[in-house]
Amino acid sequence: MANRFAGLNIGDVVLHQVPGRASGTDQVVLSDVATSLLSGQREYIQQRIRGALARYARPIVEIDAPQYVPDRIRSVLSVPGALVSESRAIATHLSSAQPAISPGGIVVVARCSLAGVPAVLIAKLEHELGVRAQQTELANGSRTFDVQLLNDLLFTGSSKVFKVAVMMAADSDTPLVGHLVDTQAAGYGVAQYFVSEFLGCGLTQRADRLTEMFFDNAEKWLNRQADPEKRGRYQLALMSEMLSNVTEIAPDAFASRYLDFEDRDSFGSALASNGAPEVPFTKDTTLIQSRLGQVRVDTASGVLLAAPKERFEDGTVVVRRLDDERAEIVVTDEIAQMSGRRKRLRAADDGADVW
Amino acid sequence: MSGDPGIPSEFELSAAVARFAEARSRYAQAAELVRREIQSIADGARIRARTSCRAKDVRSFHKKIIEKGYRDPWVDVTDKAGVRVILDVAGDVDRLAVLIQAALGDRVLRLEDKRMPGSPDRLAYSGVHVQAISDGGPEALEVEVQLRTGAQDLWSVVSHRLLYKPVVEMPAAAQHAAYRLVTLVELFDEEVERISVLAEELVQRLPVEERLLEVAEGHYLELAHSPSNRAIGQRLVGVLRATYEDHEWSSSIELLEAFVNAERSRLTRLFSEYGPHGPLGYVPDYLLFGQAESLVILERLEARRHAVVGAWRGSGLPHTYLATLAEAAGVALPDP
Repeated sequence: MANRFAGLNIGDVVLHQVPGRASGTDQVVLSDVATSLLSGQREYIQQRIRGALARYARPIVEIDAPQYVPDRIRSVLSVPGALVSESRAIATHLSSAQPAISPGGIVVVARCSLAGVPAVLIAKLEHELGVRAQQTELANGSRTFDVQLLNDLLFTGSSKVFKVAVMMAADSDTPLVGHLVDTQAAGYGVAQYFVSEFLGCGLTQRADRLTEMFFDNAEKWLNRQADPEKRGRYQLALMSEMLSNVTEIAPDAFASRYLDFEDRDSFGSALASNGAPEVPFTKDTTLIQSRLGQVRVDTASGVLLAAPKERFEDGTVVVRRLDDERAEIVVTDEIAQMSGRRKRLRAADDGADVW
Repeated sequence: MSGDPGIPSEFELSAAVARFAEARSRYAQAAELVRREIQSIADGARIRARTSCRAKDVRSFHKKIIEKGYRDPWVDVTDKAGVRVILDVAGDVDRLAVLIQAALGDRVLRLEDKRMPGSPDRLAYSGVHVQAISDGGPEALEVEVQLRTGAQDLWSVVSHRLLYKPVVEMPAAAQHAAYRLVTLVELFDEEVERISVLAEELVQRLPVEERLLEVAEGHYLELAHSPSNRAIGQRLVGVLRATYEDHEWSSSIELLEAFVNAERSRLTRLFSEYGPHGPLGYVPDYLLFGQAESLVILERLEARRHAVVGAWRGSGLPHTYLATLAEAAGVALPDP
């Protein structure tokens, strides 16, 4: 359980209700005391949040400190008994920060710890719809099931309607850092109002850098694969993912979709060991644009082949593995032109000529 | 000073007792630190050990100085803080003593093997004493660690009452009867050792699946304080076999041991919250928390998440069981 989110432990919890557009009111329903969680309830909520953090957590940092919510968090962490009053302020702030279109929901503010570090958890949960069936006995003694439609459920088994932020304690003059999950935002993004207007934070990692790290490490990994046919197939998959219209990349989903079963864990380990993103992130190919046009094959004996990835996909270029370490590359096409290519000289820093 | 230059004066005696009364809580803290350290060493080596500790009672400290005629009470009373370690098997006394010396290093001042009476025709107190220095508390203090088998401990406790601190002086025949009980202690320990070695040899001949299950059950009992259903366990380990490369399978037990030792504190908390004695133990989704193989699954999820999901999907077992275990443990499970 090297995963750090296994170490999330929830303590005292306060719940408030923020209204949505459809509720016909702008009144925040605030609690006066902390919620008493019965046996199993704390464990269940903790489990759901651990799972969400493990899958989707994005690191965030307070921007232009001090910000309103981070200051409330500092107060909860440093002033005993401040949880309820500060949580009321946080819920009220969320109500004013969220756009009118946002649905209402329950705001959870809790003291917690992450790997032993004191922290504060803020979650916005939206009500879900469900049905409950209970056996009942009619006046004539017949037994039947009474069905109730429940519209105030939270955290149901497959619930994806919540936002969670966990912010860790820091020195008073240091910006707060934490993790954010927004399972409602399109794809794997985060709702801007929640992270910036409400929390006063920003994502710590730029999308273009994350995309570049993923691409670099995925290429390094696939080039270590012994099977040339597999290398080619994986390279095409990587290029397709980068050039597709999807706006997010989920490394786990990429592995499941494109890699052979036996290679998926090795791929994940390679990303993890090099600090490349393991959780979903927004795709931004700005920094790798020049590398996405063509697939390049360098052979051990110095042959170089470059072709648009579509030519691999339509069978113009085929890479097959032979019985030994070698591969066969077949190009079936019309030869438009052949020419000698001059090696280009450039000056090295030490004055020597290099290729 | 008193007239005899070797015996402490009444003033010196009172000062030593007062000093110990003032320091006693720190000795109790030191004893607890060393106890935890030794329990952890034993757990890590899968040695069954029951540990307890105490700071010496102030009156016992006073009495001991007088009875033993100590010249420098503060230095001579070496068991101001004590840890007792009771082991099932005699051979584990030596194993643990070696491990303690290796782990504590310079903090072991001396080791005394009291099982050697000095003469073949004599019977005596049995056990090994390790004099160690505590670490981690406000003060580094000496702690006497006694390592014994259960049988040695029983004899020691009984003989202490009957022979060393009797209300009345025992007749010689009764004293002889008490001493000859040591023979039973030795025979008992030797037989336990012999049977344990045989049992271990038989376990080593079992297939890897069975041994892995056996090891998982041992750790699970300690972490979740609950037995596990062996039939379900055999099925689950069969499913998990596909998540090991061939070279990994032969060292699957070592992989599990390393995982449990590294994650012991988190696992303890995880099973107390979600295990069979936890508040969600009755909910079917938490079934895996009631099984020892949950430890193997967690280790495999750490090493090869995709392989676990694939093997699980192929087994036809409900995905909810695996998803619940992974979620509570903070593991991101790839979609099946």
